[in-house]
Amino acid sequence: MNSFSITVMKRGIVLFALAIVAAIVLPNYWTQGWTWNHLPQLVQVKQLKQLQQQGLALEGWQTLNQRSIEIGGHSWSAQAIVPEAEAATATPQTTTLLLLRPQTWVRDLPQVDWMDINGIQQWQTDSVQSIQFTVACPNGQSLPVKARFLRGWTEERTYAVMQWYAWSTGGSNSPTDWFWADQRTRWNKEQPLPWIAVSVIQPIAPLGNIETVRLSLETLAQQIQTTLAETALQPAL
Amino acid sequence: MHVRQKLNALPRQLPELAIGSLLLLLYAPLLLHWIDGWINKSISTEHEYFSHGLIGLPFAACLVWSKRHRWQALPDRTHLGGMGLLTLGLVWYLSPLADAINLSLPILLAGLCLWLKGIPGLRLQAFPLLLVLLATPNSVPYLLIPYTLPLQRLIAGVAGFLLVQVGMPVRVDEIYLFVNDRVVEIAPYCAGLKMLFTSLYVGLILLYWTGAWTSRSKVLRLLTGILLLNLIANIIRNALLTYFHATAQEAGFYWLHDGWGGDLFSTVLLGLIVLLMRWLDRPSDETAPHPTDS
Repeated sequence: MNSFSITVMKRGIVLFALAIVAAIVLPNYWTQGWTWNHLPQLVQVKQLKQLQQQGLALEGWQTLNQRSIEIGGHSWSAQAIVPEAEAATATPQTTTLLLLRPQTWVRDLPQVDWMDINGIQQWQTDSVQSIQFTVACPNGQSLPVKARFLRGWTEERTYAVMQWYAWSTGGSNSPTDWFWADQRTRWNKEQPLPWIAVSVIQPIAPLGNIETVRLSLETLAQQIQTTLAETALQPAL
Repeated sequence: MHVRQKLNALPRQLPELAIGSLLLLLYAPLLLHWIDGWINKSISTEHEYFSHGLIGLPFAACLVWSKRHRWQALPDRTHLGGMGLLTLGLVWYLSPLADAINLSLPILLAGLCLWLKGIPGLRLQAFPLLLVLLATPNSVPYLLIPYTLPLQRLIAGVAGFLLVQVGMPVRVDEIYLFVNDRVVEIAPYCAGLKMLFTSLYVGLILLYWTGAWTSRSKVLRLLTGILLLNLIANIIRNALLTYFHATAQEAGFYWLHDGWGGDLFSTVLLGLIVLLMRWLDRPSDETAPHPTDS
C-alpha cells in the first residue's frame, strides 16, 4: 500500500465513524431530543419531599416533635427522637436530634451541609474522625457507609455527632464520593442517584468522650440508612 | 503539472472538509447550548465557571485557521493513540453524562490531530486544544468545593478585619460574618474561583498573544500577579457585600451580587490584568536602543 492510499483510508475510517454517530443523533435536529436539553428527573421526588416535611419513622424510636427548619438556605427536617422504652421519662439530655436534608430536585447538590450545621449550632467541634460501617440489604448485599463522627460542645451541652450523605447503594460524608456514585448510576441506568444529608446529634456527659456512645450511634445510623434506603430512596415505591 | 496539482487540491481537501462538516453537525447544537448557558445563566453555577469560553473558543478557532498552511504542510503521520481518543470521544458523546458529552469535544479534536498528523500535529495545535479543553464545562468546580474552605476562611477573616476598621461591629466565626444580627456566609462559590479561572484563562491568552510565554519569569510574574489581584479584589468584593447586607442596602447587595455591578467588577479586574501584562512586557532598559550611541 502506498502512502496515498493509507492517507485515504485513515480519513475514510474517521469519516465512517463520524457518519455513524451523526446518523444516530440526526433525528434530534427535528425532535430536539438532545441529551443536554433534558434534565433527568428524580423518580423519588414525592417520597423525598414527604421526608423533608414529615421526618422519618424509625422502629423502636418515638418522635417527640418534628418540624421543617431552614439551615444554610436549605430546608431540613428536624426531629427529636428517644428510644420507645424511655419515652415517658425523656429529658433534653436523653433526646437525640435527627436532622435530614433530602435532595428535592436534580440540580440540588450536596455541598457544605456539615459546615452549615456548625453555623447554626454555634458549637465548638473536636475529635473529628471518619468511621465506616456496613448495612445489610434485603438482597444479601452489604452496603458500605463512611460517616463523620465528632464532638460538638457549647456552654450548655456536649454532643456526639454522626453525619453522612445516604444514597440507595451506600453513603459517605464526602460530596465527592456521592458525585462518583451518581455518575456511575447515570451511566448505567440513565437516572440520577438521590441523596439525603443525615445528621444525628446525641447529648453526652459534659465534655464527655464520644467513644462511649460510638456503638449505640453506629447502630442507630445503620437503622437510619436501612430505613431511608427502603423508603425515601427506593426508586420503585 | 501545475494544472494537475490544482485539480488534485480540491479532492485532497474534500475528506477534511467532510470531517469538519460532520463535527459541526455533531457539536453545533452542543456549542449553542453552552453559549446559551453562559449568556442566560440557564444551566448551572458550575457551567458558568467556563464562560470564558465565549472569548476562548472563537480565539482557538482563529488560531487553528491561521495555522492551516502549516497543518497542511505537515507530513501524514499516524499515532495509534489518535484512534483510542477518537473512539473514547465518540463513546462519550453518545453517553448520558453531561460531563462526558462535553469533554468528548476536546478529546475528539486531540484524537483527530494525532490520527491525521501524529505527534507533530498535536504539538502544532496544542495551544488551541488547551483553550478548548479549559473552556469545556465540567464538574471540576463542584469537586473543588471541599478544598476552598481555607480560602473562604481567609476571605471572611480579612473582610471582617476591614469592616472593623471602618467601625462596623463584625464578629467572624469560620466562614460566617455576624453584623447587626445579620449573618453573611462566605459560601464556596463566593471564594472567587470563577473569577480566578477566568483571569488565568485570559492571562494564558495574553501570554500567548504577546509571545511572553517563552519567558519563564514573565509567566511566573503574571500568574503571581493574577493570583494576588484576584485575592485582593475578592476580599474587597465580599467586604462590600457584607457592608451592604449589614446596613440593609438590599439594592446595593443585589447590584454587586447578581446585577451588572458584578460584571463591572470583573471587567475592571480583567483590565488590570491586561495592564499588568503590558507592564511586564514593556521593553526593558537593557534592550532599548541607546540614544547616546551614534
